[in-house]
Amino acid sequence: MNWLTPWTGFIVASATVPLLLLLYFLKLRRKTLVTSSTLLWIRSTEDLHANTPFQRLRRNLLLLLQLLALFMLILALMQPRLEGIGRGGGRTVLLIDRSGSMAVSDAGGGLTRLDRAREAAADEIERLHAGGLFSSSDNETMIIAFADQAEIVQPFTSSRQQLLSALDRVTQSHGRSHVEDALDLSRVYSTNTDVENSERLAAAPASLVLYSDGRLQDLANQVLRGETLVFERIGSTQLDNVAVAHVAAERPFDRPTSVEVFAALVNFGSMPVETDVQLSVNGLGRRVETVQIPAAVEDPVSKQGIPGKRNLIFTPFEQEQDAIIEVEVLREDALNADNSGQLVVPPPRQLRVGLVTPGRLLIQRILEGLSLKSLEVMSPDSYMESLSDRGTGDWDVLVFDAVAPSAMPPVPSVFLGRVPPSSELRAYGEASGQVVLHGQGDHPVLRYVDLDTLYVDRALLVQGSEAVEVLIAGSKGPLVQSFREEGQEHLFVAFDPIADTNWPYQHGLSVFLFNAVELLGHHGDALARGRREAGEALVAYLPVDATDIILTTPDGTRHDLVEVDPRRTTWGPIEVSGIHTVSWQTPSSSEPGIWHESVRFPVEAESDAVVADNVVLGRETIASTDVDTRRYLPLWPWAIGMCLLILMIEWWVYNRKIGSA
Amino acid sequence: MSRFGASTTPRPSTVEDLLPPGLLAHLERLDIVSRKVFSGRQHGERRSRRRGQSVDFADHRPYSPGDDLRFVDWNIYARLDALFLKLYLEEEDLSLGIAIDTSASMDWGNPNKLDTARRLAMALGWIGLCNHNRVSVHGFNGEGIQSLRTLRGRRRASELGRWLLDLDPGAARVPGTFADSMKSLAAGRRGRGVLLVLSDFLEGDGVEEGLRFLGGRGDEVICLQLLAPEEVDPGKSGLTGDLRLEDVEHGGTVEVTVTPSLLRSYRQRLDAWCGSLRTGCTRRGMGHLTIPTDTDIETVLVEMMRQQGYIR
Repeated sequence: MNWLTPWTGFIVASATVPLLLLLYFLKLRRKTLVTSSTLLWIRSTEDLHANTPFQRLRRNLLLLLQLLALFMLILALMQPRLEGIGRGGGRTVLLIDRSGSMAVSDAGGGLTRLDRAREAAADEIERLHAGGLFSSSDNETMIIAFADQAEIVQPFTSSRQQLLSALDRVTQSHGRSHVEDALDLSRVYSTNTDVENSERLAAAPASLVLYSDGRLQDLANQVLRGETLVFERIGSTQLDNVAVAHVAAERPFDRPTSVEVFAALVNFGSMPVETDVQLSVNGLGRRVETVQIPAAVEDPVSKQGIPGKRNLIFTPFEQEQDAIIEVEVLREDALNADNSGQLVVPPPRQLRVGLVTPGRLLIQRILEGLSLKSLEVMSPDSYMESLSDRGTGDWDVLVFDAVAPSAMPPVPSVFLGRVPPSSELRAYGEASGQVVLHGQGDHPVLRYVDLDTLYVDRALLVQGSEAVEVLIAGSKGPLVQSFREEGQEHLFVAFDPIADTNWPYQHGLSVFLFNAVELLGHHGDALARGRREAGEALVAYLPVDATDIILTTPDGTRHDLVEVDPRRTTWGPIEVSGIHTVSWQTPSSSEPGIWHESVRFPVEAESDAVVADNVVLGRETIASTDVDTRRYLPLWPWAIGMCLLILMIEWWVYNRKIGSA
Repeated sequence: MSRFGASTTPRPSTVEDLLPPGLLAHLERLDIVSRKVFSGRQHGERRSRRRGQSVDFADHRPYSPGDDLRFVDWNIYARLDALFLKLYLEEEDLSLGIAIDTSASMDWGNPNKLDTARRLAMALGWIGLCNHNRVSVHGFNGEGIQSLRTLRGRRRASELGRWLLDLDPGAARVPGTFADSMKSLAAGRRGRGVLLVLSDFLEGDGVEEGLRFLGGRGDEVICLQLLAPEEVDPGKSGLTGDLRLEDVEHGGTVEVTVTPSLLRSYRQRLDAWCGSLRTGCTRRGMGHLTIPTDTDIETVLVEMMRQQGYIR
């Protein structure tokens, strides 16, 4: 039991109890009546005093009852509460998960998990800071909301109003849930070191309250450092959710004005689903397909759920212009944010390719054979000069033939045989005599590429980060890898295809280069994908004289992007999935420039949103507390009720004593 | 101050208010009963101890020289040859005294005790006048005694009424006790007869002593104790709450919280007080009757006093 407003009770008690006692011992103000004779009254009162030995006691009983009633009233003013889970006051950090999985509407009453988390956090704030004007609580609370990044919504304060209004600023994100930043932020603000003794903490670590469904991506790396963490589980264990995992489109090789759309659908529910899937182009429905998606199954080894998958290919349709393509599952489920996937398909266009080469002709000849708008062949020195003179606007794709730039190029690039200066890759040696063990045959770069006959005599051994995707794995290490750097996608080939392999004697090298250039150049004939994810930064390369740059998010919110470099306009983190539109003005054109970017929902991370029973931080397993089962029992109504009951008893006793005959 | 005990009925202002004409005829047939035989001053309608001229034979005695020969029983003389005188009982008038307590405590109650005493005195006086009694009326309070000269004959009734109407209640907080008043009354009264004392007798220690003074004169004393309904049953009359009761006569106060137990105790005290007064009266050969002021005068006279044998 705790007291919300103990000092109010003490103040009222110190003022009223002595007053009651004083009033009680003061002489009663009596009404004066004239009577014929007081003779008999005097004798009667003497009789009464003489014959009722408990008279004084009866008077004291009234005083006792009145004191008891007053005590109950003061008790009510002190607002005692019984709480289901005892959590002390002090400094508390409320960590609110606002990632994509928190958009699931399974909190009852049509509320999303985030809505329920806000409600639960509001209850916690009420508990910690209740008492209104008379609250004497010295608790301090901070609110941190997190998805891909964490942000402090409200620094430590004891103001209940500030905390409650801060909750309204916690908005839904479609990003992934990473709790590390949130924990770091809470530690920075809650761990005060004693200035005189840096080894000693000035105050005890804060109590952390985590409002989440427990689907945290980076949980394995986290440990508690003396904090106490309460995991308030939000969400249900049964979930019906179908998501559009991927949307891809390509212009067929022989029909560049047509678009063929691919969609990957996944079912996270335990039951097979039959649903309609609609293809829309620029907002207009073009196709509707009925598909059956198998149910999710449990992996017998890892006990993890494996969602049911279904790929869908829509019949090609004519689309000469650029288009926004949307694939939408036409059914309501727990998470609607992942029911659609968008894609921006650029118009068919020819690419401008730059080749940086020490002078070898084979790659140049292959590229010259492609249908390009331009091919600029440069030596490494002239590339650096061009880069410093002209910026990035002249090339759609760069190919580095056995050379490595001193800095990562600003456009999508293919690196052949040399390790680019990327933080994603780290070379640690060489390996000789490799064959291909595995290739991602469904990857657009490897379409129609025969890898069975490829022999690599010498290749660099390169360790890629987790973000690096291995497209071709050799017998001794990865041979071809795809990675992203500053928003650009790059391909790294770990061997020199001319000097170290038999590729020049096969048609696979030409097809590979063709696929790579087309993929990286976003050519309409190549596969186009929504590459950005919620939580990442949006980067747009606009004309250098672009002004009035406005970003419109899928929910219609407009953001004026001021003080940005048009050549590399960035904005982020992206909060929600869907089509983001950047518009701008240029002096040379009366028509505003428009640029679309599709942002996908991180389906693989956030759509499988069955709540976790616990979170494991290091060696500690934090069991969840269901917010719906945690209730605080205010005791003041009972105190008021007792006060009224005592007053009734007091009234009865008074009437027994005073009541007229 | 509250109106508790204040009279709501108008004070009598005419003789008719004191004694309604309708009541006169009823009262003419009544007479004050005297259990003792008193010597009167004039011929009246009551037997006297004295022998005199009357139709009631009393005794014979031997003739002495000088006796009135008209009373010689000549039949005896013829048979016995001796002279005897026939003696007859003398019929004399009765002295009826009515003493009214006019202290401030009597001017209280609803109906007012003093007004009730006036009406009762008027009715009793009328009975006395109708029976050729000598009626004397006294008003007493702490300031002294007011007396009306002796009246005789029903023609004096209006004089009696006017005197009663002019009888003022005594002022509050006047020193003097019931015993002093009775002492003065006994000393100033001439002759013996029936003395009716109309009072509430709510005095502390002076009542017994006052009764002793009255009883010492040989009068037949009847104490008519008038009590207002507020005194008989204060709870029913609306007395409730935390009160400071002020004595209208002496000014003393007592603080009370009216409770059922207090009212019970008061009632017991009142009964005990009336009982002790009755005992004291009986011990001294006096009559006592408690009369609530809300009782009709005719009921008091025809039923209550007749039942007690004070009136026939």
